[in-house]
Amino acid sequence: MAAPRDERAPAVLVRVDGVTFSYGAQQVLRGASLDVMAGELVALVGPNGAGKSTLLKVMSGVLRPAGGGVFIGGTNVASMPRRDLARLVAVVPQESGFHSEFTVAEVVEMGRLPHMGRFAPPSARDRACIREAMAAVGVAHLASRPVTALSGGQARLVAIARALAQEPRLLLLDEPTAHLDPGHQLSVLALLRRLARRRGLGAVVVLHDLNLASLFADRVAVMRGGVIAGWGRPEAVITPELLRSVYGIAAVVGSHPVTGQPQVFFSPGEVVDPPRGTWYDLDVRSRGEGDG
Amino acid sequence: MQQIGHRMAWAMAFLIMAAVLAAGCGKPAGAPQPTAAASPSRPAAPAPASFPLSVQDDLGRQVTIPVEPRRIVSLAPSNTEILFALGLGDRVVGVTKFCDYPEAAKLKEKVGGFQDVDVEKVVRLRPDLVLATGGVQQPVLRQLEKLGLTVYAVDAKSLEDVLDDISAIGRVTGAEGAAEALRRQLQERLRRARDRAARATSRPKVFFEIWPDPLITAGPGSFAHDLVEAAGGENIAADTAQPYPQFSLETLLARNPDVIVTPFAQSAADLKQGRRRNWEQIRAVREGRVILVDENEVSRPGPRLFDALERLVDQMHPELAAGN
Amino acid sequence: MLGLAGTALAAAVVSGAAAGSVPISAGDMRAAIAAVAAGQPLQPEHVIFWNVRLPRVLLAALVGAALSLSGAAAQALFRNPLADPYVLGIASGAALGAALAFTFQAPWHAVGVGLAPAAAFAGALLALGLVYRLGTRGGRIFILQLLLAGVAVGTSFSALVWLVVLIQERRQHLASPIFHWLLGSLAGRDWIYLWAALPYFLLGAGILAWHARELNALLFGEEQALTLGVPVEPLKRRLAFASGLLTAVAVACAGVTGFVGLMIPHVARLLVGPDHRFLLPMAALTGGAFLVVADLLARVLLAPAEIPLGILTALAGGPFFLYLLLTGQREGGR
Repeated sequence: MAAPRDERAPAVLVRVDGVTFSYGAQQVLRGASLDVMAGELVALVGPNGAGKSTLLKVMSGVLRPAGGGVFIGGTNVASMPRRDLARLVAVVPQESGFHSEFTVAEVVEMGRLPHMGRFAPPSARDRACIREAMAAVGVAHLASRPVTALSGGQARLVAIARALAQEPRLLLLDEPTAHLDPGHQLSVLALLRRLARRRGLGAVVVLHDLNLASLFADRVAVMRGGVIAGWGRPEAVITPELLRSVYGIAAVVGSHPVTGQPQVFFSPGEVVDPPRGTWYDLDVRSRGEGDG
Repeated sequence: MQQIGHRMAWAMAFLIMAAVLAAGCGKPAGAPQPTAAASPSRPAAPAPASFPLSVQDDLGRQVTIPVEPRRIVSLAPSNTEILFALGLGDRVVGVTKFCDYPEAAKLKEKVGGFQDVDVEKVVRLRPDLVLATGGVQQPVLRQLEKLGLTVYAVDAKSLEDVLDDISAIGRVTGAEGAAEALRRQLQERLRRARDRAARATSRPKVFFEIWPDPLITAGPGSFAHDLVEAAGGENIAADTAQPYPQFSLETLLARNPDVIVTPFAQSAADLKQGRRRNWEQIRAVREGRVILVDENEVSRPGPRLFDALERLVDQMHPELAAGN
Repeated sequence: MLGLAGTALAAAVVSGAAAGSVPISAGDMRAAIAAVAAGQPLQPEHVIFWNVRLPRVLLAALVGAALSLSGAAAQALFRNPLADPYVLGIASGAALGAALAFTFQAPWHAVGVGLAPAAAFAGALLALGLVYRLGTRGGRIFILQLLLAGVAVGTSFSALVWLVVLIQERRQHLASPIFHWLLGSLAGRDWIYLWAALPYFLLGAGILAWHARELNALLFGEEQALTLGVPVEPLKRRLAFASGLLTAVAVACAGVTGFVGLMIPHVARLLVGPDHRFLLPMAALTGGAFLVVADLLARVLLAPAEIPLGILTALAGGPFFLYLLLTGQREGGR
């Protein structure tokens, strides 16, 4: 799939329109709306239990929304065959789930699943794609290593390579920097931004680190209580008011000395208004399930 | 996880192994040795026993019978048949649900099945003697004993054992006279049947079908085997180490028996009408020598074994009928 | 690796056909096959080879392959290394069918196949249908619910089997055929069983082969499989059906033969790795070879008596499995 490179007016790649979703009686999404442009990296931030992971699952078609819809190129994701959808949207999950002794190359090859014939061996194009995906994230040297023997950071990179092998137009990543050291956090985000720019991918990244979000995201979407409470360029969104109202913290927001992006400076003992409401309750109940 | 299935299979495996081992061991060492006593030149009946009577049963247990039993519960069809044959039918107060011979036995109170004995019911019948068997019944037997009942077990493994058990049952029930008469009569019939079989010009190879699928036959340690051999046949499964082994069809074909004995009417009909694939080439099937026997007659160690034997002698040696 | 396994299976089949109560030479085999090919009537000495032993050996290979494939599918479906072909309670359903058939005493050969195998197959399908229904809600299979339904149905059917066994346990001194059946046996299985089993085997194996790549994706969990473009719900339905069908046909032919379906997929995984495109054929080949050898031993060890197959599979399988576990390395595997 040739990456569309509209220079000037980037097309809307994905439109999330008033999505609602409940787990049983617990409503998690209450009408979330969001647009993602081709070539941009959107950071999805917000407190635990705000519905970030759930929104990602609705966008990837794993969960069917109760109301509203996710549209890619005008087509509702819910009505697309899985295989077609997998050629448009790729997901890097929070947990890699690498428990079988596949090699790195085999796992990345699985990204070609929606493109390959049922019994056909990988075509030249498939093989090129796999090579390129591994090279892009820097795991080519691990190709024949079993994925069960990888470190957490390496496993994350392999999952990203697999997603790239799908040649998607939209990349969804759930906390790709969790459990990574600062060096790996930066390199993963830099990689994602580069990929978005160069390939015209839309990328939606769930992040908890507001400073990283500010540094790498083109736009930041803030979720609270199942809706997008605010979104825009980092300097417009990451403000003391937002920190207070969404996270219940009083913090100083300054500028990055080099890039000028907003950076948050926390102070000890500054929780002024503990988060409350449904998202907080939800967090308490679902702690440990990674339900962001 | 049909571990349940597995578990069941395992339980079965151990049962079968245990059975194989037990069969290999034969009678317990303490059991009375019958062969000498079984000789036909034996003098008249022993002096009537006086109660209380202390005897050793077939399981090697020392059993004391305080008074001459008036209320007897039989835990096996064979025991029931022996009791009735000794004229003790009216002393029988309880039988298993399988005790269907003679007719009068069907009217008796049922105390359950062979392994699943209703212990409470047995106790309620207030028997002064419970006549059990060995093998799978031993747990029940111990349970009944703990409840204060007098339990005597017989556990015949051969035709001669059956004669001894008739004597033993006669002794513990105070019916020695009847038992000795029956014993002598059966012994005479056994001798005559063997003589007749010895006069036969043929010694046919016999396959005794216990179950058709999976194919199970009778080996040494089973009454079916004893009957075949006593009737002047050669059991083609005589070299198996188990009483009821699973048997391979190809061995059956290779050994090519002259006679097939089956307790199933369906099997007999299938074989006679050539409905069983691959069996057509067996000599017994080609020549129509398929003998249908009564399953109960050949499997219960009681007096009717000798009826089955006499019939088998004639059926296995058609030349005897002509010459007689 | 697959070629090696194929050779092992072929060698097992040939030795299985050669050895037995009557040894059969290569010359005899060729002569018998030539006679059959030429449509000539069989010599009596060839009947044992062609009509009795060869179909039994081939059926052993089919049953071994079916159980191994079924186990591999169950392990992928439940993403649990302890899953086996009997996880869906199917063996108990088959056992109930067989036990009921045994209460009719004699077999019934009117349709060419014995009553017990036919009833076992029906019982297995009944159990599969029940479990499937109980494990499904709103068209979706819930894996945990399916597992629990399998346990519940299996346990209930096992209880019924015992009830039937107890009720018909009236023989004082005769063996109980259900015990032999429950331990597994291929005794007396000839061509007609092979032909009857083959279509079901091919259907089940075909479904699994068709979905081999998707099975790999399923190993990462249902969510990841979905985002890789795998229609997970239809896949789970087909896996449960195919695994159940393979188990049903194996159990109907050979009774409850334990351990094969649990062990062989792990053996195959140690040999060729987790990729189902190689794992499935490997499991089928090694499973087939293993059961042919086990059946051979069942026939000859206590000859002329036969040992129930299930005893041998577990006796031989346990130590072999441990050995592989302790020493086995994945060997590149193509």
